[in-house]
Amino acid sequence: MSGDTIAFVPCRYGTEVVGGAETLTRLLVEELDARGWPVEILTTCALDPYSWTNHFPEGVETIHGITVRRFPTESRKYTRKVFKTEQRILAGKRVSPAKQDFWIRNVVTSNALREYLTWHKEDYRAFVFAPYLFGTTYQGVHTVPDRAFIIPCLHEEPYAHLQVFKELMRAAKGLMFNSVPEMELARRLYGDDLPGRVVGMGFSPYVANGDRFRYKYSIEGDFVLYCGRREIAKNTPMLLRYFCNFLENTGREVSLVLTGAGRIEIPFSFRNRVIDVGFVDERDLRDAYSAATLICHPSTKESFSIMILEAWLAGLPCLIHRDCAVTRHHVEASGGGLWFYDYPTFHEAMEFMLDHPEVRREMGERGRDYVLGSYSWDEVVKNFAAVLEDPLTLGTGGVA
Amino acid sequence: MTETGGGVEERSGENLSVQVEGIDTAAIMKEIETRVEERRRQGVYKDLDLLDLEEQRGEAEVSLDPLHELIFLNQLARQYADVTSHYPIGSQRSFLGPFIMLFKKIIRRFMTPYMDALFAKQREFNAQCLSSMDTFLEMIKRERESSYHGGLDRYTAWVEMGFTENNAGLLREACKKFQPEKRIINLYSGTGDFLAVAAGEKLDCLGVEEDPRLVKIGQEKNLRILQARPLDYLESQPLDSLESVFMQDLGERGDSRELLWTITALADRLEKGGEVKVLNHHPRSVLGVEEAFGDPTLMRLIHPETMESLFRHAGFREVESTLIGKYSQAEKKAWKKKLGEGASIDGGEPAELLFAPRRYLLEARR
Repeated sequence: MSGDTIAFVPCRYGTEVVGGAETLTRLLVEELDARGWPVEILTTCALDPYSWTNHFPEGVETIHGITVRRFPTESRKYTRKVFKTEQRILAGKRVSPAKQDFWIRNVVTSNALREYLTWHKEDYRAFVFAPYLFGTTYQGVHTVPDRAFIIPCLHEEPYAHLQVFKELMRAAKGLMFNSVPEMELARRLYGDDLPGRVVGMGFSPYVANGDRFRYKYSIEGDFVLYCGRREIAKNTPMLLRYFCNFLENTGREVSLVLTGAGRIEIPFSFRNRVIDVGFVDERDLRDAYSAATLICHPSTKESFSIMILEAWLAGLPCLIHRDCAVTRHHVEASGGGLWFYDYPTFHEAMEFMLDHPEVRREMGERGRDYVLGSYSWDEVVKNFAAVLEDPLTLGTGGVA
Repeated sequence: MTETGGGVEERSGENLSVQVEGIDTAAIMKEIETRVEERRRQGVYKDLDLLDLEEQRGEAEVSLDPLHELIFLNQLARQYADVTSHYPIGSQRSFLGPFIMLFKKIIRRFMTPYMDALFAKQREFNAQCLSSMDTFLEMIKRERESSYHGGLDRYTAWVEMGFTENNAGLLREACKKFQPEKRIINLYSGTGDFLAVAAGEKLDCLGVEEDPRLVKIGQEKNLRILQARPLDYLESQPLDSLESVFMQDLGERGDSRELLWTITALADRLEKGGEVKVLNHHPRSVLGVEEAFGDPTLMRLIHPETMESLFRHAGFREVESTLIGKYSQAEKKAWKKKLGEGASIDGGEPAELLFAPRRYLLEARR
């Protein structure tokens, strides 16, 4: 390690970790490493984003050639007081700064990591924390503010309005946003003079084999793909309900294939049409994009949405939720899909997409052009370097 | 027809339609919203809660792929695996409710140590079961992945890419070796080339083929083909029940172990005196081999002596193979032209190897 090394500090790290911020960090780090940048990962031993228990062994390991230092998390003290504070935050009620501070210190922290940052801050050129919401970022930024950068992965949610996060964002030396709507939201919440710019993530074309995915998982006919964590915050239960109602109302022979982590209760009588293949590796995921008829991403809380951009690379059109500023921005800028906001619009948009293969193809191509035109690694690395050099420069970094 | 954005839109019957050139997603969404308003009044959109939807559907029978069944069961088991005594306690009664709840909680407090001892074992057992199911699932997925032919299955190679061998003459020759009154089972029948020739020779023949796409092609030609995995078909037959069996390219594709299993199953299922005929590529014919590997699904050739030995080892009494499919003068001439005038292939051992008959027909009797 040299004084030039850039340390990335995600709350979780590993190829088996499912999560947008974590994936984005990993791919950005791997790209920088491939281009000869000295990079390192400082992270926790956690894998599960709910319990935050230590899963990976503490110490140093190498993942895809990158040094990863893991530190144990404190056992999460999810007491009644923490729960009540969280409920107040989620309900949009006023929570005092002291209570906010108390709450954030109970959302995954690692004293060992904080101590490492304290003692080794001179060994690194910069620390890039991701995402904004966790105790590791909160502790870390306040420990090394003069070298701290944040990839916030911010979206509209009650937590984003807390005073502690306003102070956190303003304490950092610079912010690296994933998209223009995310940057606009941050500046609306925390002030127009917030340092940083859009960095995002780069994408490269890939080769995939949809037939292989269909064969491996025994999937026939048209299918809608959902990728990512299955949770209420991502609107997965809503998608499941809409989809089952769609099947019941139309009698169509189309399936919903879910990939990713998390539990979902599939209704018994729809188990032949809703197939949960669980966590899949990168090759299977790309094959799934290539095999699917369309991808549906119902989440309204996104800061970037890697999966839609990756799916577009395979020429797959998307169906997104209208109320997500970021995915809506992508779709409106590219013309690569449609949106819905309630069951009737979901029903009609689905029928339209399924009935028009030629329109789907055209939308997929538009999406692909958009990704290749706006999210190249050259541009991303240039923007990343620009934030490190001069975080006070405001701008979109030329990203769509 | 109405102009919408960059595209021309029309209402055709029930469905929205749009021209691809210059599609405008905002305009499509506008049209969808208009349509939603119209159809909402007709009550088209029933958006029920999943529990209500389940109730409405009742015990709907659904046919499920075995892999999907396992995935579903695995997830279902996961939901119930974590057995605990800490289920929510409640009471429906308004006045007595709190007292009943208190009573229940006290009872539970006393029972918990005993229940936990029991539940701990159950949880351990459940965790083992889940772990086994995960292992099965992973094994199946790995197996399926390794058995994927990368798009070069027989249907793709033969039908879509046209890598087919025209060997109707050889099949006719093989047909003549069967006794006309015997019923022939053609395993791995493909698109039914042998069945078509056998029908022409007035033979009673049934094909067995695994790939439903190939079966469909054969059935469209009015050939009798059963869709089944040949080995499963054989194993489902009673012992000593089959009269005659014909196979082409036996052991030359797929898993090599299946060759041995098929021969063993045949030895059990053929009646006494029943016969098997196998038409395979001859590895000693250099040009025959070149022709054979023109088919990208072919993986290996089996030497006639090896094949004879396998049949004898399985218990067949009379095993014999003869070479068929000699190169005609015209074919030899064409090959010579293709190989170049300078090639010395007019006589001697090289010519024998080069133009050796392209196939062998193995005949085995039980």
